[in-house]
Amino acid sequence: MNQEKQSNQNKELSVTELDQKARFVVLFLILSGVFWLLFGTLLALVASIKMHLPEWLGSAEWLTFGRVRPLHLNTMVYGWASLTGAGVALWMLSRLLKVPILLRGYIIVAGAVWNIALLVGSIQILAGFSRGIEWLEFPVSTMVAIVLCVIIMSASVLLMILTRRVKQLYVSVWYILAAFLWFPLLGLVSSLPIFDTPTVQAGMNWWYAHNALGLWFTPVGLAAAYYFIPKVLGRPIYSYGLSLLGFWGLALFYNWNGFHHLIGGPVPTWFVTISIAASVMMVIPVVVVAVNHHMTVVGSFSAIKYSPTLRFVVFAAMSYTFVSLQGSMQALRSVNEVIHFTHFVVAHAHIGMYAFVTMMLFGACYYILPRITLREWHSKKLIKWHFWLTAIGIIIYAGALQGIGLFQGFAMNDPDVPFTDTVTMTIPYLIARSVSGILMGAGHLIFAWLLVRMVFQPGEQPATPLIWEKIRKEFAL
Amino acid sequence: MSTGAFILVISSLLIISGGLALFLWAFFNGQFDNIQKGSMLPFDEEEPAGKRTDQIFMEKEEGEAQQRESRKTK
Amino acid sequence: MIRYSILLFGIIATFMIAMFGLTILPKIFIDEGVKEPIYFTPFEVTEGHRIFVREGCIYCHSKQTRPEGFGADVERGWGRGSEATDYRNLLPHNLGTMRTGPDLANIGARQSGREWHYINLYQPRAINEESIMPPFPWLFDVVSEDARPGRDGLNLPERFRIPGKKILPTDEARYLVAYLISLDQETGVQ
Repeated sequence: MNQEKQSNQNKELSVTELDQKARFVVLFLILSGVFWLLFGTLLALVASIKMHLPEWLGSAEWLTFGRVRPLHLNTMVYGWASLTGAGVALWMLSRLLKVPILLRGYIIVAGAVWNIALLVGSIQILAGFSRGIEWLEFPVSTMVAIVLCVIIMSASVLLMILTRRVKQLYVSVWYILAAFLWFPLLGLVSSLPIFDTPTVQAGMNWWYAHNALGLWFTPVGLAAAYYFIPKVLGRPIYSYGLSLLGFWGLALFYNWNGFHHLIGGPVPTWFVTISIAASVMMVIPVVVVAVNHHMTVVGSFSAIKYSPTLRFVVFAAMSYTFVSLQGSMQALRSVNEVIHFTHFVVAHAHIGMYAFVTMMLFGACYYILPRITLREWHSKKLIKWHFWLTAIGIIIYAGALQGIGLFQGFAMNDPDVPFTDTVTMTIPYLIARSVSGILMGAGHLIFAWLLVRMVFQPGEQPATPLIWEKIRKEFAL
Repeated sequence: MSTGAFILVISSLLIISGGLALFLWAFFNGQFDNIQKGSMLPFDEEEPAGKRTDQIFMEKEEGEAQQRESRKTK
Repeated sequence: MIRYSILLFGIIATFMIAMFGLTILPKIFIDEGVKEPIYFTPFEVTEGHRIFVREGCIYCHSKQTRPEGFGADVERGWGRGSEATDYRNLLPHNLGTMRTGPDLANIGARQSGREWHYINLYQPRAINEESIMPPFPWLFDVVSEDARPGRDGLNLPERFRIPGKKILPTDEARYLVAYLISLDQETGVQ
């Protein structure tokens, strides 16, 4: 331990050495995340099919829609996206600060505890012990355990920044630092028992849920975009000043969005109005980020052909712009009147968590994994299949549910339309969603297979080297 | 209710003026000179700007041809 | 070091201020008016609320009606706009965010008969052919026709009947239905 400290002070670690130190932690987090991705996808399919075939598995108490659907959300959010996001974030931090990931042993233990907490929480939700608050269905014990695990990672983040070997903090580091401070705070406050009247708890609920999106997943996703787009292309960000503006815009405005989930609800109107105003103000940082990314990539779009990472990352970055601008529109009362309570919002949530966060994480994984394992991806073709299945899947999902969601909303606001018609009209599109879910699920299985193949069965390396020559020479592969 | 409003207004003014003060300090301390150099932070000697680091779908021959092209135009 | 501290300060400050504004401030404003009324909440209703949460009803049913002029909740006969005092201080709040099924804020006024609810929970398609609501057979006992004399089984349509058997609600079904019937805006507090 002392020797390591000494060598840290004495020599600069090369990129490859940093990656090697990061190997075990990042692999563990990503592999855990992918396990929950697969489990969460299975739950998603069950829930989706049950919506248009309610009798399917209808007599199994633990599989009823009202339990499977929240478990799907919680495993995807606190399992897949959080674990893999944490792994990707720590790897980026190591690269950008030129220090190895610190407290590695503790993080591994935290990761293991996190996985166990998810497992226990999953059983509890299916057994009927959900906390019953959207985005917070895991029992408090699970949430507290997860928050403690994240706090260990936050400690590592802070230590890495304090012992960094670079002078300036890149914007991705800002986002990651912010994310690892905001998420534990969110988790802790939401677990406090002080919100003991229903509408006050509802307010906390939606302050928490929207902030989990915008202050945990969004910063990690944007940090990835700001890192991988320049890294893959070899081009610096178009305007660094704009990226700082984007960060502070996010910090200032995003925090106040929560009550736009309660428009028309039993809370004082002026709280809601504050959230609507903040939601509209978000247009500023979102557009700033979009301009920055676009201007960095423009002229090099052909690089997408050759880089799976860039494919996923650009798709995700464009989705971020789209879903955020859509969100700002949805917060306006006139729009909200139509789409509130419809499938439109469900699709919006998935564009955010899937088309943005998940696709960004896929792109990051395709970059990170060869570099920490020093192995090749097994098959170019399978990577392409993964991309197209998931991209087309989420596009069908969003198109189908947002299309019919609009009509569902209009119909609901027309008192002459019997309520049951607003349900029947959605059935074909719910079936389309199940189909899109199968596509995405297939993509996930392919990704998991590629991962397992790379990590556990190196076997023969493909004939043409897929990672750059220097690494192979340095490690004499 | 009015004491609450009073506290709200005063604390808001304090926070806003605090933020403004920090911003002014940053501006006059030269924090905003040469911001663009921050964009070079992801790059270093091993992976410099100008070199693409992930073209794994490119065939080896294509990649070498591309490198020759970019060397020519330099 | 100064820049790093400003960054740290900014991150924490932006969060804390909004947290105060959106969670503590509403608590200060709303709690007084809501904690005042004394709710006489029967055991069945609190238990029913617990089962409502357990089965995840809120993922298809909202429980908040929008005020007049905003959406068509009032015109549909779903009740007046919901207010903070309607929620009987039962936690979690289950305001709901989806209307795959109708809003339930005032369901007790629309459907005050227990039999209707029992049938709807056991087999929703017995009430409405087009319904996509899941069935909840585990809230019911299927016993033979002769068992438990004096208790009538549910009056199901022909095709959902099980020959030689009758369907009786368990205690859980009774609690859940008691809760649903208590959701009535007119009786002052739900």
